[in-house]
Amino acid sequence: MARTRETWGSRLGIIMAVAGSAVGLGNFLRFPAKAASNGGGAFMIPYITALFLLGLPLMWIEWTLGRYGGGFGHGTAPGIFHRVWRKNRFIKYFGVIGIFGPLVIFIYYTYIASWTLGYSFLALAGKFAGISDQAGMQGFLSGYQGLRNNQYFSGLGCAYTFFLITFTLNIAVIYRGIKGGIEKMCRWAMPALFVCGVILFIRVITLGTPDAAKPDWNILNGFGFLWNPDFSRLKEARVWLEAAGQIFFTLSVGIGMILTYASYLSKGDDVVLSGLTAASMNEVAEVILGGSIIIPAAFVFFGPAQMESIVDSGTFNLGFVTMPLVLNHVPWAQLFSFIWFFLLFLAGVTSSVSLAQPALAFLQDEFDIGRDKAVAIFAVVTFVLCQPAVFFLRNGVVDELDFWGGTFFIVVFATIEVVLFAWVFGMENAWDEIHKGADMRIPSVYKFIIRYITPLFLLVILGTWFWQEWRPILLMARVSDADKPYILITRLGLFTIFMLLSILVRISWRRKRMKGGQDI
Amino acid sequence: MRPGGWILLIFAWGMILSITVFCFRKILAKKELT
Repeated sequence: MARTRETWGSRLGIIMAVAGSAVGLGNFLRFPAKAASNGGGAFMIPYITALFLLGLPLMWIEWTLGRYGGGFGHGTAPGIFHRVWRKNRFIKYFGVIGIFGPLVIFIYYTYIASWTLGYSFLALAGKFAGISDQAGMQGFLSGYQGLRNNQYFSGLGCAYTFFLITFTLNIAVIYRGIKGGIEKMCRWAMPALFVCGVILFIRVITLGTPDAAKPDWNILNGFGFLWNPDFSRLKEARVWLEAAGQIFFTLSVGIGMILTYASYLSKGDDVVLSGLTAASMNEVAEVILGGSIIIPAAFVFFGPAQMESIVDSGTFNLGFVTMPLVLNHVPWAQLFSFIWFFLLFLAGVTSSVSLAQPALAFLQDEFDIGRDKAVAIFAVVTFVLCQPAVFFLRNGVVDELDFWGGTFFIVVFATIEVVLFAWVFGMENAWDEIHKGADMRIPSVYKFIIRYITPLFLLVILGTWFWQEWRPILLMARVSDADKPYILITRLGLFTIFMLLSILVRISWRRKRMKGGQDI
Repeated sequence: MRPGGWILLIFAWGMILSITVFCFRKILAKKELT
């Protein structure tokens, strides 16, 4: 007899959990950098267009498919896709992406989230309070990451300790289950995250003009650096693609986590309003808080001349080099630095627990394994898989994992989902399914958008990527000769994980067929 | 900040906050939040 699936304890619980999954480091680091380097305020036009044409439709599709699959005891894409297209015996293997993607992201994201916990403690201890220039702070970060030994760190001991704490915390939360673990954590972590964000927001907007000798370096011009539009950039296809990519990352669509979270809903639970609420909370965190902290604050202390290089320095540098330097200029620097890194840690850990859930749900639903055993298997496997991300960071392993797990397969998976939903499930069926138990109606123009615009948008993104990137990526044109063996081994490892998951799907379906199960 | 920046900021913030308030008001009205 199949075991009873868990359910969410409250509506607030799942909204907070999905919002927690969506609000990650990218909201506070990636978004402001992308906006500033892609036309400033003008970036908001393709960004909001992508939100309405890509993000929200995919959000509703994943919530609906998840709830639909959960009704048949499936919490992951192989089972859900098979349920939607029962005549196609291969579609379940495409669903493997919905377990593979989050698993791959989990194995490096947990390590990155652990840096934010480490830096929270180091901030309180004042370990980088005396550093006043980019080179010094960059040296501190390189030392922490184990990329070089210096006066701050020798070896990976500190980083590895915080990695172990973060990893254990993740496992402890998922061990306690959906209601007792993830929901409980997100119900306090998300309000705490918003409190931290609002404190930093107020601190930044009250910076005024810190240096009277440089009156142009003021907070209003800081906001202007991010928001003053350069409409000529809208002619560039790249700006539109960057905006669409940001919407993907920020809403956590196309990964498979929302499918799994929504599978723990009951059949009559609303998905339209809950999905929109989670998405809007994410946008508040990203556009209002994320857009108001790091770029305006950096402008005030570094001035317009240095901003271009700061924005182009990458998200890690923005978060771990620029922001601590900025906060070192304000009174109570250690406290504000702690709040900044703790905010990032909360954003990171609420996302990482959601990344673990699809693999767990797969073991529980498709192999009828209990949660304790599933968590133990997951912990052992992912702990081993995390090690290359920790020890071979310098060789580009994390970037490689991020490209396949966190970029390429997201777009592929989202394309499969929307085609399945609109064209295989059928738009009329899909429309009825979305609105079961709904607290509001989606405007009917979305029938057209989901059927034609969203898939077209995704195909353009995929097509453009193939056109521009397939050759340099596959041939490792941008990888140094010294790093090529590491990248090659990472790719082989990823291929092996994908194949193993596919074999597990095959075994599970065969076992069910032999048992004469209804659901094959 | 130039007027164009202000207009885009107010437009984006206003839209996002309006949708968020709309959603929470609707959920709270149903007394289903917790």
